[in-house]
Amino acid sequence: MNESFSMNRFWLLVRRQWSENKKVYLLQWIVISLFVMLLQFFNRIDEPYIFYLLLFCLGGCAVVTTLFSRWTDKGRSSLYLLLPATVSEKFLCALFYGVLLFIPVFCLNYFFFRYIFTYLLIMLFPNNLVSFTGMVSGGIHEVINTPLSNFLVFFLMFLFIQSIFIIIFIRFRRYQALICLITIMAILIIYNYGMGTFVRHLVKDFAGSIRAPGLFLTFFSSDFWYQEFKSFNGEHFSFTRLIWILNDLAWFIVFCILYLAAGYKLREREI
Amino acid sequence: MITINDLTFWYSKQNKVFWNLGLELEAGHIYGLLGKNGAGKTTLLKLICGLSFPKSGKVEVDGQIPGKRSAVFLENLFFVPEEVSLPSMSPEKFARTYGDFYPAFNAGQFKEYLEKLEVSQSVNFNRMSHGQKRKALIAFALAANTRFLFLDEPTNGFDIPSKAAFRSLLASAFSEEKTIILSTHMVRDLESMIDRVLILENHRIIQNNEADQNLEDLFNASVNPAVTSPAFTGH
Repeated sequence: MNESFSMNRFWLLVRRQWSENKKVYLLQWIVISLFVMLLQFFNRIDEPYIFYLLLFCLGGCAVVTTLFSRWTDKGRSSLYLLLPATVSEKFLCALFYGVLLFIPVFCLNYFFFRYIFTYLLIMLFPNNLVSFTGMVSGGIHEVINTPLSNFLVFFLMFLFIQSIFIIIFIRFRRYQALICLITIMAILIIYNYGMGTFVRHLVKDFAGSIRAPGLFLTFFSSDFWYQEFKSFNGEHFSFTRLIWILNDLAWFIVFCILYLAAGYKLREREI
Repeated sequence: MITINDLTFWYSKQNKVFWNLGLELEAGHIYGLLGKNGAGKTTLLKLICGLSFPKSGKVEVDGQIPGKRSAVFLENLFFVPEEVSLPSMSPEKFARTYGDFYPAFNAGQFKEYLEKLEVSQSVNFNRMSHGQKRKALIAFALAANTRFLFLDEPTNGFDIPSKAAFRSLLASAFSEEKTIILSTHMVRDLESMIDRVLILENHRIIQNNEADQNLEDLFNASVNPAVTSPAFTGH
């Protein structure tokens, strides 16, 4: 038997996780679906994607809380830590539910509730103007025409938040959500400020004029919005494709390291 | 065999739990781990299980380091903590979910032990009392047939018939290749089961003897000589 990883033990862990938490997962699925529907029906917001992104990241975090949030419950946590499986198997089980299964389920759920379920609801009303095929093909068209960079922003933001979330939930016993929120906010503010300063110098060099740091950075994308020093007209700055790819690749490597660090923290976890 | 060498452990540096503790425990015995509240009984069990790590010194269980929590090591060990908390499922389902992790787990034995301890197989743990849950977990622990079995205050919350049933089950499940440690402050409940006694006091083991005399007297004599009973002192 392979000591560090056994497929049999891994599937036993997956089965155990499902048996113990299927009701929680069902509840989380219902809550996420309700939010997708609410956003669909009250979509008067100009940029609804930020809410979908938030829902995506929070949902991914909620799925892994079933594994790492019970350290104050000594009975449950000792049962989990002393379960005959290696730390790698236990951690991969968390990633199986939190990443591998959650992402496709969320995407299918999003598509179903945003397009198909919405159509079925519209059908209830007389004189509806939208056809089923129109609704679904519109959805497919929207997905196909979404630039890859948008998907990357979603995916990298998800990895960023979830990896930090897991580390904090394994490391701390109490106030984990609060510590997580503060940490993520601090990293985003520092990153935004750093990138703002960096872009200001770039713009100064290129344009020969001094500009103030931008207020809004689209994380993990090639876009950076900045403002001119005296006017409030937003201007758009784009990195070259190569810089953007290297930036995203670097972040992806950082997130992989964060996940590995989370696995290491689980190895060190004491009761 | 469990070997502990120069073990030092603390939760806060000012308040050490163990200081250069040394101990050897052999297979084929039921050890009674006795000590006053806060002496470190549960902590010692956690260190042997790998739930806590020594600050210095070494703990080895059959040559393995518990802190590494390797699967092979964990397959041979079961720890029943004092604070039992179980998932929302019936014992029957619990056995199906957790039993496969333990190669020597015997579902028939589990069913038999549950019957003897008068715990229903089909009632959800959420609807059981603390004592019932503890009994179900002990039944599982015995049916897992692990070589190392550690029970922390096992009879807490048991009524008198359950204590008798537990003693009978433990005796029937015990074999020469097993090492069982019972941590308790209720010496009388388990006196008849224990064949070696370990008494923890002042950060170290002060007694590691065969349990050939009244354990309660031995315990009182060891941790508080002023209240030694006549039976122990021979008066």
